[in-house]
Amino acid sequence: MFILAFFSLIGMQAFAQKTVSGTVTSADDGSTIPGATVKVKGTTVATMTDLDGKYTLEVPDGATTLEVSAIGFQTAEVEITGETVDVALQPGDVALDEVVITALGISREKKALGYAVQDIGGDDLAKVKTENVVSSLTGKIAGVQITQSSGAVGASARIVVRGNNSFNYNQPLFVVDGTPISNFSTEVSQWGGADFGNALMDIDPENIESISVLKGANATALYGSRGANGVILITTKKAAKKKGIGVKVSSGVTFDQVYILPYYQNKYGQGYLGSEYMWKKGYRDFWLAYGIDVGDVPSQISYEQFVYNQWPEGSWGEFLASLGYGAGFSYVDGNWGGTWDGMDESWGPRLDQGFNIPQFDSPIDSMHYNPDSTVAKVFYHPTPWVSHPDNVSSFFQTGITLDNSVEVSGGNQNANARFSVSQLKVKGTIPNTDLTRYSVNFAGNLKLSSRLTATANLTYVNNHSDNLPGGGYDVNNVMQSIGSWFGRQINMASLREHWNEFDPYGNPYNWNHSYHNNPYWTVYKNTTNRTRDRVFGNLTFKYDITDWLNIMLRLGNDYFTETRSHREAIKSMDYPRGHYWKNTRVNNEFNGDLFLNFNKSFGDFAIDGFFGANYMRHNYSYVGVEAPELVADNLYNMSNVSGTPSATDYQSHKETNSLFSSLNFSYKSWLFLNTTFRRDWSSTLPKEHWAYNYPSVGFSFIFTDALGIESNFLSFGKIRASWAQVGNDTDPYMLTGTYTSLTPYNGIPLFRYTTTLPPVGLMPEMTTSIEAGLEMRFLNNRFGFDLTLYDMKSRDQIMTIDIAPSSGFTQQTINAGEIENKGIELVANFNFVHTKAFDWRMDINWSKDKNMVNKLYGNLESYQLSRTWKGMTVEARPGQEFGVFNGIGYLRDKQGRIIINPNTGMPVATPDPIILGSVVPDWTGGIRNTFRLFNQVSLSVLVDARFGGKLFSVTDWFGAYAGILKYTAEGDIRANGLVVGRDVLSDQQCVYGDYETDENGNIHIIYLKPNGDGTVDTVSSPVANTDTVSAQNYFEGYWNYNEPSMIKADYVKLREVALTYSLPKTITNKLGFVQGVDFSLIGRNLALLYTDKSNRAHIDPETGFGTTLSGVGIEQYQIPATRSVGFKLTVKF
Amino acid sequence: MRKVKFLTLILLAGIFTFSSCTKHWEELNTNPNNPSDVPATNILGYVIQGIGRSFFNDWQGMNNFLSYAGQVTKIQYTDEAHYVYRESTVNAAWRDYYRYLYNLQTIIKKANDGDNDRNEQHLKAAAMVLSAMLWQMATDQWEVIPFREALKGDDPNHPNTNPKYDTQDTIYYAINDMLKTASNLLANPAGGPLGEGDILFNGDLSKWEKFANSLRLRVAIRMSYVDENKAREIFNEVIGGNLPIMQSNDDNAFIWWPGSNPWYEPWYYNRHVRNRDDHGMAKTIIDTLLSFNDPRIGVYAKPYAYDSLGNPIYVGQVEGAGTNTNVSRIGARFRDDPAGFTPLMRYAEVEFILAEAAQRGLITGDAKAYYEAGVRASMKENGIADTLIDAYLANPKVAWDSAYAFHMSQGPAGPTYDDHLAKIYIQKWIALFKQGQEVWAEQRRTDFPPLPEAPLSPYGTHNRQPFRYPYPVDEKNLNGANYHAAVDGLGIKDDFWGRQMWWDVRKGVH
Repeated sequence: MFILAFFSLIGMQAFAQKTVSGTVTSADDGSTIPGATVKVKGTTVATMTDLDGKYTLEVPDGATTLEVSAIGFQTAEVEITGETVDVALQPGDVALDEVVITALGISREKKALGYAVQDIGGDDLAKVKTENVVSSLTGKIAGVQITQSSGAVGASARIVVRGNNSFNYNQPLFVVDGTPISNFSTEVSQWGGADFGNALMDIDPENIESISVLKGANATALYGSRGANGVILITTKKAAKKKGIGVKVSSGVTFDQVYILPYYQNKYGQGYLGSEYMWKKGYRDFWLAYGIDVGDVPSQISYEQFVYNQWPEGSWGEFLASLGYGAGFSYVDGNWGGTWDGMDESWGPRLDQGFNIPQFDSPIDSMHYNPDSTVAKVFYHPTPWVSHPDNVSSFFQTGITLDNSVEVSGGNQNANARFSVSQLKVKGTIPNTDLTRYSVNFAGNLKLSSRLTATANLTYVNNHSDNLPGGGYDVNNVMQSIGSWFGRQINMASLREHWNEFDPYGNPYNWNHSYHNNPYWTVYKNTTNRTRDRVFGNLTFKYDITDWLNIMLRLGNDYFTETRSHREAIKSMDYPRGHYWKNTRVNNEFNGDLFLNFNKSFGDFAIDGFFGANYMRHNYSYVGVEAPELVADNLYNMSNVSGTPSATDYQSHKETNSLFSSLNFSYKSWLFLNTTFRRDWSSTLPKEHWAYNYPSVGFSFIFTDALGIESNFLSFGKIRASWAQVGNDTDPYMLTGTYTSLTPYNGIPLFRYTTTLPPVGLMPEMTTSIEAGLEMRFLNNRFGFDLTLYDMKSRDQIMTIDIAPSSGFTQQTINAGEIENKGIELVANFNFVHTKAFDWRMDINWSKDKNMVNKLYGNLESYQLSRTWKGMTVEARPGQEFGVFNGIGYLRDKQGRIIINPNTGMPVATPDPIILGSVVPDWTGGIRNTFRLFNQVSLSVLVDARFGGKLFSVTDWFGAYAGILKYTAEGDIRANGLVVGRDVLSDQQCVYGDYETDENGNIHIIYLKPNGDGTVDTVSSPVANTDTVSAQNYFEGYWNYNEPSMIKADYVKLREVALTYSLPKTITNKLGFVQGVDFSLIGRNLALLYTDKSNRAHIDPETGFGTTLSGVGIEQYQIPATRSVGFKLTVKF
Repeated sequence: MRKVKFLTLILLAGIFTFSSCTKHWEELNTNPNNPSDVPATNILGYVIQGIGRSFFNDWQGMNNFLSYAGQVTKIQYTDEAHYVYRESTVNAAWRDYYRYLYNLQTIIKKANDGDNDRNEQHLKAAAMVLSAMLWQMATDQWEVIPFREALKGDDPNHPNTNPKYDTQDTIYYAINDMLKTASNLLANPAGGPLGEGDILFNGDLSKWEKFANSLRLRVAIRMSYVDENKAREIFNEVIGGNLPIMQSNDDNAFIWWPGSNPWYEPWYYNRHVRNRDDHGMAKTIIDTLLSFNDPRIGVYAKPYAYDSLGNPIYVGQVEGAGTNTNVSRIGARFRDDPAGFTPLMRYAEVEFILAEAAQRGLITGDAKAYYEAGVRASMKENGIADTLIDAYLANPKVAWDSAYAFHMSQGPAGPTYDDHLAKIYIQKWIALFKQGQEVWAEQRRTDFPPLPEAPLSPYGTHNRQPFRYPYPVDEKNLNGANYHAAVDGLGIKDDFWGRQMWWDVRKGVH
C-alpha cells in the first residue's frame, strides 16, 4: 500500500528548497565517480555520491563552498553557484574526508571519529557474490573473523568482531538502513542435523550500497545493550535523484566444485586384519589381545590363501573364519553374515593383487540363493577386488548458482524510487540439495514539503530449500560414511544406480547394513526442508525545524516466518520405522526511534548531535510437532504417526526502552570531541536492575592540519582515542523456575522442575573498552595506514554455568567472569602505480586479538564451550585464552619425549586431560591487489590468511582409526608394521616407560627397558622405542588420545579473483540507450594455498558449526568446501 | 499551519511509541510456556518413567552393571564392558539420580507445605519410597556421595550448590528411616490418592507399602555382613512386626511400559527402534544356566544356533572381551516386547533375602521354604511350568538338601559360606536378571558367582570385576573441593577398584 501511495505522490508539486545536487565526474574521461564525498566547507554537513556519481545535499544558509573528494582523486573546492553543482575531479590524491556511516545510521566524516570504523562498498560485495552476505566480508575487514561452516548449500557463516568477548552469543548486531534486523540462527550441532544457515542470508548483496563495520564498544555505544559484539551497518541502494528511468540488469552464473577433500589411501580395501603384516605377524598378536592364542599363521599359507580364508583344517584360523572372523573379506549380507562385511573400516586385503572377492555389487549366484528360505544366505559371485580412487569425489556433482537481478530506478527532484527484483538459485555439490531465494526490494524518498521528507525501505524475501544436507556426526551426513567409515574398493556408481532398490534380504541396496545408509538414499529420502518468508524495512519521516535542527521519526520492522521439516524414510539406519518433524517459527521485531538532530557552528567551533529515544519489542513463537515413528511409507504428515506425537509450543516477548544522546564538538575541523550516552531499560532483567547506562567519549586530532604540516611526504595525520562502556541484557524468562512437560505417558502428563537454578539479583553485563588509533597518509595520499589498538574487558557476564548436579540442579544463571580482548588492527593502502593507463592498488588488513579469560566464577576452574570425543572439551579457563582444548595427550617426560608402553609399543596416554592448544588464532588478515587498465579492465585478487590456533579433526581421527586416510598406508607400513618414533611421529623422541601417581596426584615417569622376554627393567636413562606394531593397531589406537588429531588451523586461501571488462564509453555511447556494460569472470575460494603439515588428512582448516560457540574448535565430517568459478554480466540502460 | 500539523503528528506518534512504560514488564517477563506449579502426581509419574529409562537402559544397565555382574554384555563396541567408559554415561547416571531425587523432594515439600489444603501424605510416602531406592542405588554405585547437604541448590534458607559428601553407613541408616516413615504413612488410610502419575502400582497403596518394607529388607541384608546388629533390628521391625511385604509376583515393582513410541520398554527400544544389536548374553549366566539345566535359559536367552537334531545351542560372550556377534542374544521376554517391563524389585528377591536371613540366624524361619519359594517365584515369573520347577528343585545343584558343593574361591569375612548360602546366592543372582544395579551389588556383597576382570581391561591386573563406578568428571570439576576432601583418601584405584563398598567385606579381592 505504501508503495502505491508513494508513487502517486511523485508527481506532486515541489516546494521551494535549499538543496544542491549534481554529478561528480572524473576530469580524465568523464566517467562518473561513485562514493565521492561532497561536504559543505567548514561544517560537517556532507553526503556521498551514489553509484552514478550523483549527489544531493541540503546546505545550511550562508554556505558558499563545497569540498568534493574521492579516493584516487584530488580534493576540489567549488563554489555553490546554484541548485546544480557538477564537479570534475582531477585524478591524484587519495581522499581524506571520507564519510562513513556510524551508529544509528548517522553519516559522519571519518576524520572526526575517535574510533575505528571500516567500510566496504557494495560493488566489492556484489562482484564476487556469495549466497551468504556474511561470508563475502571474509578477508576484507581488519579485526573481523569470518568462518564459513562448510560447503553445504545454505551453510551458516560465523562472524566475530574483535574476538569472542562473551560466554553467550558473540555475533554482532546487524542493522539495515538504521533498523536492526535479525541474523537468527538455530544452534548447529556437531552431532547432527542440517545447517539452516543464518538469517542474514536473506540479504542480496546486489542491494547493498555499503557496509560499515563498527568494531568496538566505542563505535557501538549508541546501540546500548545490543552493540556489545560490534555492529554491522548495511546501507541499501537508493535511487539517484535524476530525471528519467534507469534500468540495470545483471546476470551471473557460477559453477561450484568440491575443492578440498581428504587424502585417501588406495592400497587396501574394506575389512579387518587383512594386511600383509597381519598375515606375517600381527594376526596372532591381534587375537592374543582377546585372550585367544591362535598360534602363528601356518607358514604354508600364502597371503592369497590368508585373504581367501583358506586355512588348514582344524586350525584356529579355520574356526575363526567359520565364525566370520577370518582375515580377508567376503560379502554375504553386509551385516556380519560374511567375513568382516559388517565392518566399515579399511583394514582389509590389499587391492592391487588381482584378488576376486564377493562384494555388495557382485552378481548374485542364483544357484545358491533361495528366496523362500529365511535362513539361506545369498551368495555373491566374486568380482575383482580393486580400488576406486575417485569413489568419494564422484559422489559430489558440480553445483550451479544462477543469480539474476533487475533494478529500475527513477525520480525527480522531489521524489525518487528504486525497485529491484532478484533471484538466486543454487544447486548444491551434494546431489538433491538446493536453495532458492527471491528478493523484492523497494527504496523511495519523497519530499512532502520543503521541510518534510519521507523515506521508505522495504524488502520481501522468500528463501527456500527442498533439501539441506545433514552435518555433524550423524548418519544423515554423507561424509560420516563416505568420508571415513568406508571402503576404498566401493564403486560409487553401483550405489548411485541402485539406491532405490532393495537387496535379497529386503534392506535398501547398500555396501553395509550395520551402520550406514546408502549416501544416495540419505540425500534423496531423508530430506530436510526449509522455507522462510520475510519482510523488513522502515519508514522515516524527517522534518526540518530550522536549518540547523530537525526531528526524525523512524519506524522499522523485521518479520519472518520460517517452516522446517525433516523426513526419515522407513528402513533408514537410525530410524528404521521412519521419523518426521515439522516446526514453524514466527519472529518479529519492531523498532521505533525518535531523533532530534542539530548541527550548528559558531566561528571556529561547531557542535552537532542528537537526542533520541527508542522503543523495541521482540516477539517470537515456535510450534513444532514430531512423529517418532511412521505407519505408512512415504507419507510425511502427522496423520501418519505411530505412537504418541510430541508437540512443542513456545513463545517469548521482550521489550526495551532507551534514551540516548550524541554530542560532537569540533574546533577548526582538526579537533573533535564525541560523546554519547544511552540508558536502556530491559524487560528481561529484575526490576531493581532493569535500567542501565552506557556512556562513551572520544576525541580525534588532525595534527597535520593543526600544526600546519603540509608536505608532499606527509599528507595527513590523525590520532584518536576513546573510552566506552556498553552492556548486555539477557533472554526473557530467565528469572524464575518453571516445570517442563514431557510427552504424555499413556495420556498422563509428566512434569519435571527446571534443571537451571534461577538467578538471584541478575545484573546486566558490562563491557568497558578503550581504543586509540593513528592514521597517516604519505606521498599525496598514495600510501596510508590506519593503526588501532584496543583493550576491551567484558565482566559480570550473564552466564549459565554448570553446577554440581548434587545440588539438585545442573546449571545456574549468574553474573560472573571477565574476558579481556586486547588487540591491534592495521589497515594499509598502497597505490603503487597510478596513471591513466594503469593503476595498481594494494589494500592490506591485518589484526591480532589476544583473548584472555581473566576470571570465571568463584573457584570454577573451567567453563565448557564445546565437547567432543574422548571427553575432550573446549573450555574457558582463568588465565588462559578463551577456548582451550582439554583432552587426552601423549604422556611425555620433562624433555618432551613420548613415553612408549614396552608391552604394546604404543604411546602411553596421559591419565588425565591436558591442555592441547587453543582455538584462538594468532592473527588473521587479507591482501587485495587491484589492477586497472584504461578504466576498462580491472583485476582484483584477494588472498586471506589465518595463522595460529588449533582444531580437533574427527575426519582425521576416525579416518585414521578406520584406515581410510592416505597416511595409514604410507610406504610399506601395512606390509611391514611400523615403529613409533621412526615411521610415525618421526619428529618425536619415543622412549619406553610408565608412570606412577603419588599421593598428591603428581605423575612421575619411570623409564623402562624391555628384556625381550616380556619382562622389563627400570632404568635411569631412557631407551628409545624399537617395537614394531601393526599399522592397524597403531591407528586404531588413536581412539585412546585426542592429541594425534589436533591440527594447526593455519591457512592461506586464494579467496576471490575478479576480472572485469567494461565496454568503453565510446562504444556504449554509440549503442544509445545502453549506458554501461560490464562483463566479469569471477572465482571464489579458488585454492587452499597453504595448510599446516599437521593437516595430514587434508581437511579445510576453515570449519565450524553455525554462529554460536557450540562446536567451536571441532571439525566433525565437514561438508567439503567448494570452489566457485563463473561469470557475470551487468548492463545499465 | 501545515508544518504545525506535521510536527504535531510526528510528536504524537513519538509519544505514543514511547509511552509504552515498564508497568506491565513483570507480567511480560512471566514465562507463558511452562507452568510454575503442577500437581505432585505428575511429577511422580515423571520420576517413575525416568528411573526405568535412565538406569535400566542400554547405556547404564546393559553396558555396565549387567556386564560387571556376568549377565549381559556387549558384543560390538565392547569398550564399556571392559571398563573403557564414556564420561557422558557416567555423568548422566550421577545427574539423573540427583535430578529424580530433587523432583521427589519437591513432592515431599509440597505435601509438607502448610498452605496446601490437599492431602498429599501418600504421594509424599511414595516419593520417599522411591527416594530411598534411588539413594541406595546411587550409594551402591559410588559409596561416598553428597547426601545430607544435597538437593539444596534453591533452599530458601541455606542455598548450597557445593554439598559435602556423606559416608555409606550414614546414607544406609537414613534410607531405612525414610522407608520406615513412608511405610507408616502408607499404612494410614487417610493420606489422599496417588493420582494418575502412579504408573508403578496404579494407585494401589498396599503394594506401595509392601514395596517400602521389602526395600527395608534389601537394605538390611546388604549391610548384614558389616553391621549385623542394625540388620537384625530392621528384620525384627519388619518381619517381627509383621509388616506387609511382597507375597507374590503380583506385588512385583515392575514398570510396565505403554509399548508405543516414545514409551517403549528401553531394551526393546534399543534393539528394535534404534536397531542396535550390540548386546548378547554373558558367558557366566549362560554357562550357569546350562550346567543347572535351568529351564529359564529359553526365556532369558535366544539360541545362537540349532544343532543337527534341532536342539538349541546357547553360547555366551565372555564379559568384556572383543567383538563377537556369534553368541546368544537376550530372550524375547526381556528384549523384544515393546510393552515389556523394567524390574525395580521382585517378590523372588524378598524370599531369597528371607532365606539368607533365616540361614544366618538373623530371623527365625525355615530357610529351605524361603529358598524354594524364591526359586518357584522366579520360575513362575518366567512362565515355567510347575512340573519343570519341581524337577529343577530336585536337581542336585539346586536342591536345598543335596550334597552338591560349590567351590568358593573367596568369601566374605564373618559367617563362612556354606553350600546353602551359595545356593541362595546363585539362585538370587539368576532371579535378579535385568536388575542391573541390584545384581551387581549382590555379586559384590556375596562374591557369587566370582567374576574375573574383563580380558581387555586396560587397568592392569585385578582378580574381580569392578568394585565401584567411576566418579563423574562433572563432579570433580564442579564440586571439586568437597569431592577431593571426601574421596581422595579412600584409596580408590584406577576408577573401578581399590576401595570396596562399606558393606563389601570380601577379603583377598583386588
